[in-house]
Amino acid sequence: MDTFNLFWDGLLTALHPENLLFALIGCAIGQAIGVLPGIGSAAAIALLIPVTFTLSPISAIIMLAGIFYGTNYGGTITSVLMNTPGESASVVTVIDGYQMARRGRAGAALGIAAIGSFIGGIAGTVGLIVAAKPLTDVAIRIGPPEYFALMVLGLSLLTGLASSSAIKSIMMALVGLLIGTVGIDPALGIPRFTFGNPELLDGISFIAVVIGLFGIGEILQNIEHRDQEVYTTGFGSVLPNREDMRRSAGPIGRGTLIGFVLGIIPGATSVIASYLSYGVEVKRAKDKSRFGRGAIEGVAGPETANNSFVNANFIPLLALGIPGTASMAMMMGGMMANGLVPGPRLFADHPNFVWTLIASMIIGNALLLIMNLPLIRFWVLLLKVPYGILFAIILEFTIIGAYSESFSTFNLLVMAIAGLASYLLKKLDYPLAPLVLTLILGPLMEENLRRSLQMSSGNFSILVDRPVALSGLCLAAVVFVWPLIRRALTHLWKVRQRPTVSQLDARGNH
Amino acid sequence: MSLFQWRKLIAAATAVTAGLAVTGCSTTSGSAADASSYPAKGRTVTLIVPYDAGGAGDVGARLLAPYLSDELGAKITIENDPGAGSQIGVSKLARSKPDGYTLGFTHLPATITTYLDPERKADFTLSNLAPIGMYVIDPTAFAVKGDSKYNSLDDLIADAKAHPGKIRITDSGVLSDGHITVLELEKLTGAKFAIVHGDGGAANVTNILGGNTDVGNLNISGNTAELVNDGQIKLLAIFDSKPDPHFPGVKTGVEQGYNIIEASSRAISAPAGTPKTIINKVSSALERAMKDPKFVKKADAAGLRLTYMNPNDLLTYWKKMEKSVKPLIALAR
Amino acid sequence: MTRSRQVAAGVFALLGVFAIVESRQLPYYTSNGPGPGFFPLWIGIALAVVSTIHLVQLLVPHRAASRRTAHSALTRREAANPDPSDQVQVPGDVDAAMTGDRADDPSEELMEAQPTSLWPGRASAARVAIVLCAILYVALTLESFGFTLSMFTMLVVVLLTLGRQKPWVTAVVAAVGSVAVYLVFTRWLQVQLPPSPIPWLSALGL
Repeated sequence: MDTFNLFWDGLLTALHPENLLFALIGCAIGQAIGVLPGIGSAAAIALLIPVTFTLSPISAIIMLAGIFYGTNYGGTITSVLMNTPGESASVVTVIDGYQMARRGRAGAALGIAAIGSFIGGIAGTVGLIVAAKPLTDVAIRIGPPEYFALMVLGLSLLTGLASSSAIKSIMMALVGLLIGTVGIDPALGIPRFTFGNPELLDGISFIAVVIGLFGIGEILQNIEHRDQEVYTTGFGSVLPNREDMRRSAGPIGRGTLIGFVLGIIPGATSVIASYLSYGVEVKRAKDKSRFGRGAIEGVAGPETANNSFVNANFIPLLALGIPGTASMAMMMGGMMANGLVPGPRLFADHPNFVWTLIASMIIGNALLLIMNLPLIRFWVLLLKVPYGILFAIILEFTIIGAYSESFSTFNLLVMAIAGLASYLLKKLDYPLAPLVLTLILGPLMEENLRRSLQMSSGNFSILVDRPVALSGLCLAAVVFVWPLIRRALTHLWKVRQRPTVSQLDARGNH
Repeated sequence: MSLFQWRKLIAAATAVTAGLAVTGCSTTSGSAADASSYPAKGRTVTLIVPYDAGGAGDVGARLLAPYLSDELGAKITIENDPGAGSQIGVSKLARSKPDGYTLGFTHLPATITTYLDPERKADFTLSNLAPIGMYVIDPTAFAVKGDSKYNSLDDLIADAKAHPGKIRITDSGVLSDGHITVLELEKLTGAKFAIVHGDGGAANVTNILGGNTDVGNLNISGNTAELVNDGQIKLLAIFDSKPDPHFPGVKTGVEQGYNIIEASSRAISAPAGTPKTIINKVSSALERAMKDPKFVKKADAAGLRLTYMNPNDLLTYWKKMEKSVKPLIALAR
Repeated sequence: MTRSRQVAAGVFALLGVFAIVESRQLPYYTSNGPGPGFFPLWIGIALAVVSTIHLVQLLVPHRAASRRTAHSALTRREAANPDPSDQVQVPGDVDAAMTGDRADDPSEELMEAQPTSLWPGRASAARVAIVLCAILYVALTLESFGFTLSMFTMLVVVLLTLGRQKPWVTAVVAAVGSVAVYLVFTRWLQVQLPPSPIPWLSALGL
């Protein structure tokens, strides 16, 4: 009852015209930042903190929060329309979202992403209202061994990814892992594969590689022949239809849960949330071949997961004063600069602020949904721009994106090489998804394994002594091995059903 | 049109562009650094932040920029050149033209360990940089969970000696200020810790609260005081020269008999060769900006621990830190 | 076409070998478990081995063709060769798909059957090269020419050559893509894109 009253007061404050306006501004900026590849929400918030000093603290934080969760709505747009992720959280969306756009279903992809994001966002916020503190107390126990188990689980989901050839998938996954080892090693600080080039010390930029593989690779493929028809446009409903909604219900539900759980855990990132959601959807699907060819589940799940993640991400910050991600650290900076110090006492000391912020997140997510659904028609119009012009716009976007990620032209070289590689690999039927996924998971897996071993002075038992880590690893083993077992069993069954060689021969003799 | 014709067109376009750029560059370089008229009217001073926008030190730099700009009388733009734990940005700073129009942040000990560590193959040392002034000094501290059995460094060291290699200490990366503190402590006492290289800051608080480390390195700015006042965590020691008023009852390392002073600090430097008068001009502008009550209020709210040092003091501080870090490099791995 | 595939597999195998050689120079094992060289070494070994297997598969004449001719042969080989990398597809086997082990044979065979080359003609190669060169051009000139000039010239060239746009369309798109984009980024979003070093351009705020 008390919580409800506090929330109600917060809602009234959040609905104050000034606060409403800044929520709207924040969401709009976030949306724009999301559309533009390269700059992430952390940078956007950092750049705007000085601006917030002229505002009342509450409006300032409402605006910054709007930027934070608004970026996820925007990130989808370039992923779907241009095959270039606008935000690292939308990397996975590229795989099926863009294929939907090519099949004239861009509207459905954007629509389901907006709806999923809304549901995920609201669920994340409700979770924040209901059980912030107890959840966080559990979540912070997640240490390096548990992270390692989570990454192994993530890698085991790889086996479910649809692709034309298993051996080629494995090869690409290994290449992704290898690229992930470039740079300063996570445990001893020794450079690997850097060849004395300081640009490589931080590793090869994930964003530049992904933009190159998908964005540039796609341009090269389309530009190869003159006047190639790239997008099918002009038919079908713009918004998701009933069938889409039916297919998406499950992925949205699971995406919400995955995003929420990872959002509470400090140190996880939204890319992992969206990837795990994608992996789970592929694993569950009966017809896996639809993935990578415009399966709406591949958009609905990850897009829900990343927004649920982002909203749940406020939980550790507000409940314990722990920022879970770089963007949250910036949120914390913004709050502190405005005189609100995040910590366990924030709920008690500034209840009106906290509840207004929470209420504004619900309002903001609603605003974003209202903003996005009508805008879809406008975005889809972009695809009617002749490809002879559109490709140049996309090219510019990719360049700005790769450059502004770390303001280095070296990233442009990486992007060009990745683009060329993608062009050649696609010709040779190598799947790109496994490479991208191991590039996300590999470095985290190594880092957390080696951190675990630093904790135990080199004793591997740390991985099995901790129940959560152990169950994660067991689950991974099951996920990995089960299809093989089932395959073997079905196989045996089929062989028995089938006439044997001798029977065949015998029949032939008759 | 044939491809050949297009090739000609591209060549022409490139030539024109190149021509324009060359004339542009030559006019810029024509206006040589004139120390007495620095900063020249209408010219912009670039302040390199060797970290991501929104990363370590970026917000602090952005807070300072308008005030420093007022005091200096020149427009200041912040340029983020992140990468390799500030190596990329500092290297760029060291290579810039020493005319006072390119300045940058050099965080210590990160800058020092970068050029002392042979693995990093840095193309600069202190001799390529001209320190201008100190901006922020953020002392290193050891933190434990609120209900930890340790109450002092003595408790910790005694336990570490009883269980060599079993007590986990999480720092914020190889050769970070926290790592260096632990190495110094090991050298001083002969104790052995299980050093976990973490992500620092918030991640370390998580590790402490979640029980995934016994001791965590923290810097005392940010919301550390909030967490300590709440009783979630307690500080065993702050490795500063004097006790900190925000943390009543927390003794320094020196007070507890461990002669270690360590901090993560942010200095502003110029490329070596920048005229002395320019260095002094910027430094005194920095000092004035850092005394502006409006700025002090904002910096305080943002949890920045402002400490100004003039070029000479900063150089002494820098060299002292260099001397203490040098023998630890070999022990780091 | 088979040749290209063989070359690709070979390149990946060499990449694996390269990783093995390079990571031998890094500490392999430390008192705290795997060292910096551990993961690169094993990833390299795995890549080299898997790529070599794939290369061998490509070099050995296609068994797939013979597979369909005799059902008996299929059953016999399965018994003899339980290697999971072997692309055996049991008709209607859903679970093969679960492991990502859907045989690549159908698509590949289809392509092999077509005489058309995998690789485009010279004109297409030139178009691809232009895009890559455009990126390299921006990479080389962005910081010295400034964003507006570098982007403007790049856009003009790609729009005229690849887009085959009319000059006025080109001019409008390139101007918006350079000047307007620059202003939006630097003024509204406070993102620093390299300013122009040319005095009269930078005086205009570009």
